[in-house]
Amino acid sequence: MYRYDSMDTRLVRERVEEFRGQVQRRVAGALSEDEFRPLRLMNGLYLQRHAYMLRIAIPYGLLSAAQVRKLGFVAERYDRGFGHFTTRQNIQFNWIRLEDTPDLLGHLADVQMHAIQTSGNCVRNVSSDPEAGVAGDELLDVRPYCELLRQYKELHPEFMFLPRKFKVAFSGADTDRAATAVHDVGFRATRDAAGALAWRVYVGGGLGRTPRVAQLVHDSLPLEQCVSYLEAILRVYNLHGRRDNKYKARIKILVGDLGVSAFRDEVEAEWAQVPEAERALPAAAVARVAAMFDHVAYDPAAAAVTTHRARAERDPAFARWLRTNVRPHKVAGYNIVYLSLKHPGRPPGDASSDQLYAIADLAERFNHGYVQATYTQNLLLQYVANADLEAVYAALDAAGLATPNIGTLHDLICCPGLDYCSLANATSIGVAQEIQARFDDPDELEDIGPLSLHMSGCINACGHHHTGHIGILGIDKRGEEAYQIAVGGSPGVDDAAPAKVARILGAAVTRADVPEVIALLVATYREQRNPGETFLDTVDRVGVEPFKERVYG
Amino acid sequence: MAEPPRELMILDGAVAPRRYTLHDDVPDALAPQMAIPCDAWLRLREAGAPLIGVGLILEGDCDLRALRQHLTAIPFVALHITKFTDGRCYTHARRIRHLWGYPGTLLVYGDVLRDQLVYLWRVGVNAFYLRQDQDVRAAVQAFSLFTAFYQYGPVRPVSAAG
Ligand code: SF4
Repeated sequence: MYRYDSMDTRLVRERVEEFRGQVQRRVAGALSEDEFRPLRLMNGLYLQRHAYMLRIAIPYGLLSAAQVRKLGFVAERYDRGFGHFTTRQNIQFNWIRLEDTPDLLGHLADVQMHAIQTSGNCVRNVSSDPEAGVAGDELLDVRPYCELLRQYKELHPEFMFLPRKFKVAFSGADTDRAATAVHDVGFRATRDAAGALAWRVYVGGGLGRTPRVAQLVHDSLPLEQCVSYLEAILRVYNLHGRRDNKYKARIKILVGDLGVSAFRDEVEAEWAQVPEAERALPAAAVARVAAMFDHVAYDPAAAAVTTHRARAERDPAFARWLRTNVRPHKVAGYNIVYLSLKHPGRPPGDASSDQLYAIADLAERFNHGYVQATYTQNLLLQYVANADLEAVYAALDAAGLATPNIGTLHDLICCPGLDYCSLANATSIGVAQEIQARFDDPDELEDIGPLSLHMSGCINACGHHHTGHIGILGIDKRGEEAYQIAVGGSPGVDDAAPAKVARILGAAVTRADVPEVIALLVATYREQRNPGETFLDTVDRVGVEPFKERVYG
Repeated sequence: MAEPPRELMILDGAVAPRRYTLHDDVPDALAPQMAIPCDAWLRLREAGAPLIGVGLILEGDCDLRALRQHLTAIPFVALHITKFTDGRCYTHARRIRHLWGYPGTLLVYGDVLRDQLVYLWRVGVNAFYLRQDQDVRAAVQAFSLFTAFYQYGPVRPVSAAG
């Protein structure tokens, strides 16, 4: 992974000291809360219902063992023993005291971490395919470009006061595992007409109260020009994005108002002002950073080890875990192992300090010292050799991280909702747990197959309810929590299965009814499905009517 | 006696007496160091007014395209930040300074707090009128907070000649 040089280290330390000064001025009353808010938000600090929440950046989701261990320490020392992984591959701590934040950030700086731009109206953490570098269907390892963009956007002086937040995602594989279509800008690797690698650039995606799927703004951008092209987009947005209404301030509204073709013209005109020689990243910088992601010397003998197969034959639990939580690797003999943070009874995405310590140890023993956070609020180990699968399974099982539910209905995405968030209309964590409890038979879960359930506690859509195969939105119905149910959404998989927004089935239901409604949807799918069809396939084929009929008929 | 803070500015990293006056309406008698709104400046210029030493004011929503051809004739540009969180003037500054190579003074005024200074400085601003309640002498320390920056290419801290 990228290793800080002395400049990076100095910058992060200096940012901690700047923030320490801002906190002191706030505590002393020299800064009003109105003035402090944008400053603390630029540094990931939110005021929630009960305490401050600090969001820490995990650039493109990649962590070292030392970083994971430090996060465990932060959870133990400054929180109530837990960290919460988010859909943008960051981690949040929900019980932070304002006065502690400068020291906490100092601890993070020791392991090259920070909270810079994890919130605020600026370019947020860059997210990526969690399987980048190891996926079997990969065209390009996007992590070096993610890192170069991270460096570019961090404290970029021109873009710290954008109309609204700005999120960028990268995907370099056939399958999009980074939800690029619902980001402000998404870069997807492709081949141009001459067969060279290039980017397809998408702009204006986003969820919230006006969900939009991103539109193509460039179909073959040379790889090394991604940063300068993004800069042109940012400049157009900074000048022309709406600032009069925060609900209309995201770039998706600007792109919608102008139309993608006029927006493209604006970007091209802006880009044309950048001298040609400055449009490409320096080749030496790309090469230097790319070399840092060359993590593993793969063992050609690894594929010869097949002891895990024999174990699977006599141990159904292990076999199930292999089927659900282990994915193919680009190198034979290696595996991508998902760590489920969807343990029933736990808020989705939560990891305890003990689990974080255990994960750090595992990463060192079996994964060359790395851990990766995913868009679906799980973690993964991406370099596990066949020979280590049984030991990894045993350790994960002991730590409560081997729940065999990756990609199933249990593996739901869910925002913090009413438990923490001051904007929430409804509980989400509790409802998630009630749904998980309703489907507690692993055979049934496996039979249902790939099914993503996304839930948000309000219209802001942090739980991505618009892109769930089943989406649940918590609303306030005359003072009562109620839940709108939708089906058929997707963050997009590939050209054949693009992103789409889930369609609402009908009137909102009570909290008590949610698990039963989900059960009815699942039952409808199981009745209607053709062999081999997933839930989403069936919705696409038969439409929402049969589902609606079953729930409301 | 020290000047009262409202009379002070930061110029090229040091505290200095304010030297520019900002006018929403064009005064009867124009004089050097006065700034007038951009459209008025351009109008007078088209009409052949000499405008010796007269600068212009840019608001966030100004369209800069008409300005470029006159750049060499503009002695200073005053960027008006009406609201702390409005970032448009940062792009104006970057464009004028870095993309168009403007060598004159770029001044900001309005809702300007010390927390913006380093960013503004790095997009090319070299003169600052802070909001009236700000401690100018304390704020000037902001420039030494950061010694490390990521961005490459044209974004560099500048200390332009005024
Ligand atoms: S979706 Fe709403 S309730 Fe959930 S975290 Fe976001 S703002 Fe809070």
